[in-house]
Amino acid sequence: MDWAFIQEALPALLRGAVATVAVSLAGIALGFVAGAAIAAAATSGARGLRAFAMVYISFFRGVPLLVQLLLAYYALPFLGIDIPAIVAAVGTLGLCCAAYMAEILRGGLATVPSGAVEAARLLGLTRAQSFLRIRLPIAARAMRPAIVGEAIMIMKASSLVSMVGILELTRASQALASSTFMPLQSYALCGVIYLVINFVLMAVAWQRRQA
Amino acid sequence: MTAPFLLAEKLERRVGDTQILAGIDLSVQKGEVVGLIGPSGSGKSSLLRCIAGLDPLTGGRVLVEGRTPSPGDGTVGMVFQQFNLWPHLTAQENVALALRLVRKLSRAGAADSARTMLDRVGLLKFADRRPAQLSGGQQQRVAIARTLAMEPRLILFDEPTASLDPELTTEVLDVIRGLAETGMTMLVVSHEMGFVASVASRAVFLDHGRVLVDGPAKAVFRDAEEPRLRRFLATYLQRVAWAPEPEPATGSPVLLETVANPPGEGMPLTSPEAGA
Repeated sequence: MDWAFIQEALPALLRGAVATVAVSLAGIALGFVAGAAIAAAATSGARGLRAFAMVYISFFRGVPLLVQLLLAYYALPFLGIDIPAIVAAVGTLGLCCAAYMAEILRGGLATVPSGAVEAARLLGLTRAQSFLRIRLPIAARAMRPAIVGEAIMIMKASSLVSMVGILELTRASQALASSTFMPLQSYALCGVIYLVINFVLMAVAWQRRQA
Repeated sequence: MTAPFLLAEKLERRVGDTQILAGIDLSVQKGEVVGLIGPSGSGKSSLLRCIAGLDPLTGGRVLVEGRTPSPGDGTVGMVFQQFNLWPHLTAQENVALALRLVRKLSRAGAADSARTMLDRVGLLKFADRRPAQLSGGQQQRVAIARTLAMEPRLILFDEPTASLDPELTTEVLDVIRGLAETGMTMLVVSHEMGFVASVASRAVFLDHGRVLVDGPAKAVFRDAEEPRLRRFLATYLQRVAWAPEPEPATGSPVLLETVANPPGEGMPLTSPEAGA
């Protein structure tokens, strides 16, 4: 791999990388919000909500993300729901991420000792105060590694949205490979960029651990 | 006769087929320190949790100064066996949080009060430490400071030294002893018989969710006529190095490793005449 190739290839790949990061972060954000709602449903007192959460989690964890993407892209228009590719891509990534986030949140909150919550209750904290000041911060420590892991998974899984025509990093590398006839160099460079992006995510997690 | 400060009437708690509290009557005057003793599973902790409102009753009622307390209304404070400090906050923040959120003190005002309370339990210099950086005894003293800061009318101690190493129990018991001298009304569940005998004005022996013996602490320990109480106390005496040997005939030496109360800490409780 020579320097000239890298110089020629980099601008296109970096544009793809920006798209990868944007799609992934949007998906992770949606996943976190939707995941919190699913976790709330999964632990709620209403049987219907619990059943919904169970079906939701089973579907999104049990069906391959690629199949989910293809379903969103091809099947929804068939049902009369026409959505742009980018919405299908971010939506599917986010809803899939939500299933995992829901399990992480539920598990994390379950690790909070009941005594810590009882103490808060006896001292007069409201349920909301107890959740925000006691349960969530204690759970966050336990959940942080799993959440970073999930974010990294989504960053990598976003390569699949190239299948529905989003020009992100993987798709950009494919285009580069076929236009330059240098697949090995193209995909190697692509891999390095993914590694750098995910390294930043891991570094954030490491720094927080020391704090 | 004045109306009792704490009145528990026919308290019943049943979970499934298990009767945990089977009709407990207890009335406590202001300033009394009541020691609750009994074998494990006798309902001591459940009684405290029901008085605090943490566990629901299936019968009876609890009145503190004529009103039914509800958790968080500031009437009842509780100190737990496992301390239940909040691990993500420093000692000072543990004490200050409820002052800010519930008492609506300013950040500075809550911090001041918290430091005063930590000073009272001798931990001012550890105000900025997290619970994980404190010994068990220090953690329990922070928990006591956290409870005291909210100025409860009644404090319940649920085996406050049961998860501490023996050499750390003294510092916690001394804080509780000091509190008793200020006239605070307290219910103390404890397996430290020497402590109960010396600090409690009254001792209540529970077994199978019932009150079997209720009387002045000294009389309960000295006379111990109730057979089950005798057996219960005897199991403690057997584990204490300076206790008279229960069966002189065997002549087995008393094991030093199993000393329950180091000598000099609290008063040795009077033995129920062995073999009588």
